Amino acid sequence: MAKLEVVGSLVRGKHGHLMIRQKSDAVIELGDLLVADNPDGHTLLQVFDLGYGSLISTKSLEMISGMMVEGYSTDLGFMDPNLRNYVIAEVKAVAQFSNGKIRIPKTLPRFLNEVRPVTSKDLEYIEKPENPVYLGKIRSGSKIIDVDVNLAAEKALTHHILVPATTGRGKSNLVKTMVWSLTTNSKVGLLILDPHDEYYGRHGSGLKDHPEASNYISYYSPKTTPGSIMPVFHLSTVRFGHFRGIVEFTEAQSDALHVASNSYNERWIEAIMRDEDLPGVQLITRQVLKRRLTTSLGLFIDDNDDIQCRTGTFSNTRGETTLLDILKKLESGGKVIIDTSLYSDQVELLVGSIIINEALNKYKFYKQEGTLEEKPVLNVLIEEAPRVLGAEAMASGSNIYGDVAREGRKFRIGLTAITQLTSLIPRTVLANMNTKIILGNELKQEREAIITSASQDLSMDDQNIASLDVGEAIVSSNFTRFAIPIQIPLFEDYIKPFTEAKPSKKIGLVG
Amino acid sequence: MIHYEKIALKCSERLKKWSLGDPHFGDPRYFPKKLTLGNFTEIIHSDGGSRVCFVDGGNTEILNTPSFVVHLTRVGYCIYEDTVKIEDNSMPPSVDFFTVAFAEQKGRGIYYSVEVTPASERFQQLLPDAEDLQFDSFDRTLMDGLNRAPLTKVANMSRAFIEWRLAEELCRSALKGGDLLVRDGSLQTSVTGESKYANRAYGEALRRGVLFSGLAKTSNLFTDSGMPLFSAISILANRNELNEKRWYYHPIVDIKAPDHKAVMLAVKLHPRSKHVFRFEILDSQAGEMSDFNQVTGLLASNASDLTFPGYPYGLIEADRIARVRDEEIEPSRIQLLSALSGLGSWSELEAFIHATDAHSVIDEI
Repeated sequence: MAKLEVVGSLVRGKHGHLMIRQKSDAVIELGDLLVADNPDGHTLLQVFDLGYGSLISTKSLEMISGMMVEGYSTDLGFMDPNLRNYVIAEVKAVAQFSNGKIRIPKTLPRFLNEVRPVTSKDLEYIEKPENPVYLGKIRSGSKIIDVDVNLAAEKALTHHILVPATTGRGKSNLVKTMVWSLTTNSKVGLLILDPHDEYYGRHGSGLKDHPEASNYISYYSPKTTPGSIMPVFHLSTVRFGHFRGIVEFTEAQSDALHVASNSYNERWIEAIMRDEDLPGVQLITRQVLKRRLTTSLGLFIDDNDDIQCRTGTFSNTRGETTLLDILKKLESGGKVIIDTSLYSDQVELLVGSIIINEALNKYKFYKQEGTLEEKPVLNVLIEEAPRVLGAEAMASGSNIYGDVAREGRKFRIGLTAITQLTSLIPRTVLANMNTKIILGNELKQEREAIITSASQDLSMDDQNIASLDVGEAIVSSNFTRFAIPIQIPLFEDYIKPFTEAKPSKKIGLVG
Repeated sequence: MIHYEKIALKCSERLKKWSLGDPHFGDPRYFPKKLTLGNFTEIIHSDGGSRVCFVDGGNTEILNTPSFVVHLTRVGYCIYEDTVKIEDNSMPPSVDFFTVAFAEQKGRGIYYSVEVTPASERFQQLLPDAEDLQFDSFDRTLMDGLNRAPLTKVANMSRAFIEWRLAEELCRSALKGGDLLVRDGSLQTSVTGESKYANRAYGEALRRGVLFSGLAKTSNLFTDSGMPLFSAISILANRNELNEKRWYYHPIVDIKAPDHKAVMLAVKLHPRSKHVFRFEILDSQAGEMSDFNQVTGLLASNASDLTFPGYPYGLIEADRIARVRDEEIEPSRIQLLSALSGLGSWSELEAFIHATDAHSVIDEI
């Protein structure tokens, strides 16, 4: 190895926790990927901590430091500074590459083995899956290695993805990049509940800019926007089971809902709103139910005796085909974005519940009839996931999101859950989320929750995660050999090659 | 009054009354000079260009019985040019030897016989001559008071001989005219036969123009008032506002002893240093110098390390190189005992070991 490339040498440690003494003129960063060459391949090491080392005793060092800051060190210095004071990088072996294969490391590199920075050639064994979802490029510290990181879309999306991150770390950028890479993939249907209306790109760049957006993307928004569809759900498409885990009802109220549903079928909401008779249900219960529906759905009866919704989301006169259209889009591998920025939490979750319940029922049927494998996988992207996956939410009763998290995989339906508070999600749910794309998080409690549920051993990566900058992430997945540090491209840069090729359409008048 | 205070009071009274005195040497071959302010010379920092080589040795016991001992001896060196360490390919930085010392009867007396084996055949040339490694157990230069010399002491002395041999070899192969060699300790030889090796080293140094010197970390020299000599010189300097300067003090004594061919100086090598060291230059070389700035300046340029301002860093490094660490002893001991056992000597060896190991048995209880 050319001496110039060497950044250090392995000096001590044990499997899972090795120490490298940094060469004096090298700079090793937290998160760096380093390589120790072996006779038959190489071992990939990742830096998880940095510390000072010195041959000088601690007491002497403190004395020296005092002399320096108090101005007593004029004309004094360190002899052999490079030998006596140094940086120790703590690393773990994450993968062994040999004979064309990637393995989990089971042996130690040679003692005092020199280490060098990783290059793209070292990672050539990382294969691109057949059906990829793009995440970014491999990152070594803060440096980008020109190796793309993709996940196998069908597997990753049906085995659920968790994106834990605090605000401002690049979650939206990540999601937009992922969705963009899947836009034309007709084997994947995506339902995106967008509470901040940031994915389509009403203002600025977004998924609307994809050259194939008009074919693959449906954008539902209550705001009038070119290319958007008004999301109105006819009340007949709403079943009382859709409220499960979203709106809480007492036992008496639930019984009443059963009665309404059995008695009036698809008109059950209308019946309640119009005070129609519910056999065996007390008046007070009917009144309370009406009030619950009024507040949770924003329903009211207008002067024309029509049932209206304050947000326009539900109607008894419009939207008969909305649910069907959405399901059809998803089943054809399309991407459906629903702008829920003007909805309350309950309405947003209810809309999601309506769609997912019906999708799940259909996919259960397909499985029964043996045609499930021909269908595209479905994935639902939901933000602030503890609202439906959190311990508190699950304690008050199951909901469709939790059902999908637990068993959606069997029916090729998965979740992509975004959250700032992973610690609120029970470990049983986290354990089912087989891919975690970990963005930066300053909160120790959250990092611990992420680390303990990761697919690889990230017990040493606390500092790594805490120091992740905007756009930096670690991908821990059952479908990767090791936890891969990535740099997510800035969405605007990522889409440039796609959009620059797009011919501009000029409208002209021909008289 | 608590007794500590009484003792402190006694010491304090004495300290305050103590006069500096003048250098005192009991040996009539030493002619002391009065302490005087005019003997201080400020050290001018060297411009560099010459190299300084530091030599040190260490040894440690591997096996100890009343009748034979085995030591692991190591000698080492390092070379600096100003503050930069120089790699020299003529010799490895340290060389190991195994020293075996036996007690045997010759006529009516007990004599000690030492055999030295280098760890590598390549370093045979550093071995002392065999005839110089025979000692009378009542050699006055080795005795412990009125008692027979401890066997382990002769093993130590073989180390001293090897250090002189290394210094000679370095002058021959690694250093050039104008370079300075500094050994750890004074140039005074103390043991029967040691002068021979010192003279050989001096001879080589003179032939090559290498300046030969020694620096002692400690000194048991006194003034005639009972004060430590180098403390007295230090106090004299500080009383005359030399405490923020580098200096050397000369002359201290005229030495006419053939086993001590040196000019003795006191040196303070850094303004921030609190230590004054005994520094000696080969007398025939010192005699040709108008002043000692060339040598002391070169030494001072190596004495600016933050860990020990005023002490040449090269001696710290040479000490580190030459030190035999505790963790090295046990593996060597085990291998030796294993080899002895393999030769069928274990039962005899055990008897020898148990003659003196009761103390260590008690320590283990």
